Amino acid sequence: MSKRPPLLLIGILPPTPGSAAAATVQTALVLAQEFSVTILVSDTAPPTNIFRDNPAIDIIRTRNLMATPDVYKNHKRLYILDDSYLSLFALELYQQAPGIIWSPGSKLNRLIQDYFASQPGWPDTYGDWLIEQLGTEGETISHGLLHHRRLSTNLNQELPSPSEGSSFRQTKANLISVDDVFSPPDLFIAAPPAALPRGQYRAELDVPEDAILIVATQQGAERKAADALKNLRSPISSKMVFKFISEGEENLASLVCAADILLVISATNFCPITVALGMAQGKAMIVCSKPWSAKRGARNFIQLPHPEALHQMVAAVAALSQDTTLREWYGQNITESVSQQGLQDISGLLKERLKAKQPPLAVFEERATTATADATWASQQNTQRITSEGGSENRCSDHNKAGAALQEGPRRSVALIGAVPPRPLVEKFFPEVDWEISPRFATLDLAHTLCADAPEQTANKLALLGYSTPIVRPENSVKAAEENTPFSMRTSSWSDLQKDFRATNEALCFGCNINGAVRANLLIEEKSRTGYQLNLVFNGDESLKVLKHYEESCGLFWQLDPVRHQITCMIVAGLAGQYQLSLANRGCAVLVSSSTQSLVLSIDQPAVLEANNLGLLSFVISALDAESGAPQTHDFLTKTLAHSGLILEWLNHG
Amino acid sequence: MHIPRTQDPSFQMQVLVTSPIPSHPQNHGNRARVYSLCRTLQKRGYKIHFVYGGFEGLTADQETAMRNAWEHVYVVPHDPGARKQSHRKHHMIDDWYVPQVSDITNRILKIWKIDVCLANYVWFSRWLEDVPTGIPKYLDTHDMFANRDLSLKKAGIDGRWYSTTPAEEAKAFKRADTVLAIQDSEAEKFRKATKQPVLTLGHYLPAQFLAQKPLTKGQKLKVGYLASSNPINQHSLHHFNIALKANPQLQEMLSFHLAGAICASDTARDTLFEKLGFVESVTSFYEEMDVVLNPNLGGTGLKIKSVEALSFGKPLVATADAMVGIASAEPFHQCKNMTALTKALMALAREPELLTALQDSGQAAFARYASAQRETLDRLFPKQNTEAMKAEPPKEEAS
Repeated sequence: MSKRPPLLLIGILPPTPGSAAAATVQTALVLAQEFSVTILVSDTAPPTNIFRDNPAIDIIRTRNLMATPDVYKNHKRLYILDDSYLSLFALELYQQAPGIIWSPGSKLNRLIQDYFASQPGWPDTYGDWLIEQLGTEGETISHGLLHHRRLSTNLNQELPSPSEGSSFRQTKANLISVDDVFSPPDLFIAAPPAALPRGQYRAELDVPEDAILIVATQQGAERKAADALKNLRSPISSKMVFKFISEGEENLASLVCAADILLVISATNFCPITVALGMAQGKAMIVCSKPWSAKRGARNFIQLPHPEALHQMVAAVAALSQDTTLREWYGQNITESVSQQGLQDISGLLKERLKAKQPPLAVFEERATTATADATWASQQNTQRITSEGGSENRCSDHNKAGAALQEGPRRSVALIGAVPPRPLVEKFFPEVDWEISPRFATLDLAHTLCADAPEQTANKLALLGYSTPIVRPENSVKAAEENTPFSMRTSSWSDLQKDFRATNEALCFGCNINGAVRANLLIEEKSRTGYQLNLVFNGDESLKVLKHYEESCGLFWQLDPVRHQITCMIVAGLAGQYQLSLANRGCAVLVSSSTQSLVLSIDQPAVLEANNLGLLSFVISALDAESGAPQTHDFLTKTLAHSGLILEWLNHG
Repeated sequence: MHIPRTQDPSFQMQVLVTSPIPSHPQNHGNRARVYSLCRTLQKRGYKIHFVYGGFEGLTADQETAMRNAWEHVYVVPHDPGARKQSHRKHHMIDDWYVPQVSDITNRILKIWKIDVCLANYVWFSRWLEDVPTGIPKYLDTHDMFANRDLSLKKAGIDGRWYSTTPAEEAKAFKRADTVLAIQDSEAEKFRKATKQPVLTLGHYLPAQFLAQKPLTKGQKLKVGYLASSNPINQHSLHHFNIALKANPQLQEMLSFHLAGAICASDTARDTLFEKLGFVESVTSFYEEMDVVLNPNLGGTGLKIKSVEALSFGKPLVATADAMVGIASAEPFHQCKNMTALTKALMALAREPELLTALQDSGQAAFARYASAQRETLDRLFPKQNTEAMKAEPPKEEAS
């Protein structure tokens, strides 16, 4: 048996709703017949159950690609983009590794807008792009954005799609090459991929053979539809079986095959995948009246004026369910129409396109394994402890070398050096320290780690985190060598720094080893074996709408990304070892992503994170719908965190 | 074990400085003043604790530039409601003061061994009252704020900024051990208002004389005016525009160039100057000009731009108002009004050879001025003979 060529399909998967997710699932199923398919999703995509039992399709995240790029070097690349921030990761990946781009919804303006908003130069860069695309009109829209913070809600209709806009090739941003764009004339899937025979699948669904199976997609007013349909009189409804599904279902094709009637109440302006599958199988369909439905022939569907036309929908369902001839008539119309229109199987077109040569994947710079946290699933079996990185002198395990402690006495100023724990912990474990007048200093390692994402802003960020200057360097280090840092900050040894203090003669060091300073990690271990707990609060200044904030009460630095709808968190916990992160209240869920894993966090399912040798925890939070698991916006995220908050508990030392 | 500070060559004295305005970029005279003084102190071996009061907001780039420049920087978040006016007709001395500054300075004083305290602006000096006895306290006034609105109004300038009464201003003087006036005439007035010692500390800049630009026969002399957009500068530009429009011959003989934030002002819309906008390098602007112009009328304080132009050693044509505080008998530096200013420019246009003498007299005036400031500096901030003085200057963004 010949080996199937490898394919990397970069897209979105359920529970994320939308056409891109549905297209990714169905396309993967189709292409898996001829390719060895690996689906790549974002690190912050919610976990999925799709393809769990399908050995032909593998799912990885961006971090897996970055960690072992050579494995995927020769994979063909297909990008399925959603017109939203959810596909930002894919667009950014495309900039480095071009491939075929397909947008089922055809337009990509909202994604492009989010792309510019996430890059430096917003909104001027977006304004420039609008002018390139639309000329004078673009200038007017750009002016509205720049000076009045207004954007046209119909902008998506006015801007060309990637396939229409030849100027995409010419843009300064060079976002998408028009040569890479896959733009099928229509969305049509001829052969349902691996669809089970109708009878077999109906048996699996426990639907009697003589029942009328109505499959309705969950786009639109599904609840209202369900309630409306319930009101059908008993003789009419007695043989009806309703199945409400998501378009992202793995078995969508089988469901369509098994259905008698398809109810697709979608308000989108492009043909839903369910309809494409239904057309291939000659099904009677009830849809919303849209340009795409008119294009396919008005008589091929029962068209509702809009998703809220519930009376008409009930009437249409009742009519179709009662009359087999009527259903067959619609099905036949569609089959004839497919033949007359000469619709081409999109999957076939894709396979043809994928035959073309692509350059090998550029080898990504391997991400340095700097000190970032690792999130593991506490409730899963065989949780392995992942050892922290760093030199042995920083490990807490050698507590038999406790050494000196702070001298007893009144509260006083003590210099705090390194990854200083939050104030409540310092005050608890070191009552001699007067926090108000005890300056904190970072080390070079800590500064590098805290500010790796923007080294030119190191001084600002360290100040935001409450650190004073200078950076403390080891006693015998070469000053010139260590000051050759990207951020050019001043450094000093502890002994030199002492001369500048009024009355600070002692120092505690956390996660580091400074001559003359007491090693605090060892003292904390001695003082407490029961761990500690921190409530992570996310108060910013509401009136100023800050996007980043340092919460001194819990040592939490958070930064909101309103474009990607996520919050990056960094906690200077101060101690290496394991921490448990949990939500404080029920009814909400968040996704926690770290350098190694992405997990759903809820009150019943905490996560264990392991701090690095510097005592730092880093992770990204995004909000999920507690029921469906679908991603939510940052407004929802901030409300969730305000309602619930997070609890961080130190479990033990490393 | 601590080595006594006086015996330790690595020891540096520390100055606690507060300022309501940022030190970066130096595109306004008052920022240039704050920056220049702190930088001078660093060169004299002092470490700077710079507390910025948040008055004008702060971009990330500004903050980075300040943190690169000064050893310690503390930033108070901008409060749009900070500028209140308690009295119907004038401000009270602490109306614009931000209490968080005291929180920060008190903390600094508890932690660090501060040797000198320096407050910028009388209306931002409240924290000096809490400085422990024994630490010298200096108040850099920048300007005279007693009845400032009246003096601006008298000069026909609509300036709405801080203005108070002599009694209120005197309260601030009392907080300091030494009051610093930016020029002698203001020092005289301050001495009448307070028993505290008053010294004059002008705008100290190192000399950075540029070579005289060679004259090209037949080519118009370039006259440059670099200024911020404050009301006094706009007022001056407006009146100079009128004088220039009335003198077509001058327009034909000279080319006029405008640079700085003033280019974006309403006054600059209707001007015969060629607008250069913000200039990346002040040095290159001065290099390019044959003559530097300062047409300032009225206003108070010291005209930093005059000092700056003289520090570059360029021929300067200025009004008498623009040279207040800078001793110079040079007629080209003492034009009484716009008519005299335009006459002076005409003389240079007809006899460009005069530029050499003008340049020389300007450089001499600067040398005298700089020497006087150094004397005051030596008295207030003696040079520290430390290893730090031999070290490279801190890396900082170009202004």
